Amino acid sequence: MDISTWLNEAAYVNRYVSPLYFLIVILITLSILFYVVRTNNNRALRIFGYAFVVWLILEFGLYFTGVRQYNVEHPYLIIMLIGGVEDPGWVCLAYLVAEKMMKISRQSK
Amino acid sequence: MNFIDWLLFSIQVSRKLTNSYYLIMLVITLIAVFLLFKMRFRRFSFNLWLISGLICLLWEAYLFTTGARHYNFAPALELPYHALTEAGPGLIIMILFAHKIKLIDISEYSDDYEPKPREIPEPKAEESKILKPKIKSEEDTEEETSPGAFEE
Repeated sequence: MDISTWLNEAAYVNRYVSPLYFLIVILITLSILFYVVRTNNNRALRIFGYAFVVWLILEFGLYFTGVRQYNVEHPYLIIMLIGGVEDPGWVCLAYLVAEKMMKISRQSK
Repeated sequence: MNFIDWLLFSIQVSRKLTNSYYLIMLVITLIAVFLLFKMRFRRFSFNLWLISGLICLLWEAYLFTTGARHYNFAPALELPYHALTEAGPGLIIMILFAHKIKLIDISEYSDDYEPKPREIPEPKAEESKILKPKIKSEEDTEEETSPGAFEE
């Protein structure tokens, strides 16, 4: 097969989620936010806000360009949940763990 | 529809892409690697990459094994490639850009960062007076010890 033919071939990636899945995601994100506020980590809070804006723009952009597709009547709620809750949550969590790892490595030196 | 049915109601989220998507992700990964070396955030960025890759891998593997995730071809290759190229590099570019535009300051996690030596504050003039032990003058000692001091 020619490489250009392969590059233009369709590559579908699907996932099936449910309201239960989003409830779990909301719980995880809320607990991350609670930890951030409780530890007064201003940087992590800013990263959450920043990721919220960036991922919402990305998700809406992908939806309007037709890359993202949903089988529900009102996809905006799903976009809000993915771009505004799920993605900023894992971004913030990854930052918090990386920050902790850096602090531990600095202390052990 | 009862509550349990509503909770488990299936929502399909799909991406309609072409295989060039994998090539684009490779380019984004190379950009992230270039930036983390150029901006001297190697250790912090690799930590970010490791953690986000792990989160993505666990999450995707869970979705895949429960039948909630479907890939176009070779899931054994797509799943780790997805975890390796999508989560980490995007996050690294995002965080380094936020640092660049001064939205957040992560300079303490830079490779060149050296902690400032702890400064011992000098006591203020007034405090030093208070802290100094009071040395009794000769006149005071004479007054106290003179035999006439206790006479009425």
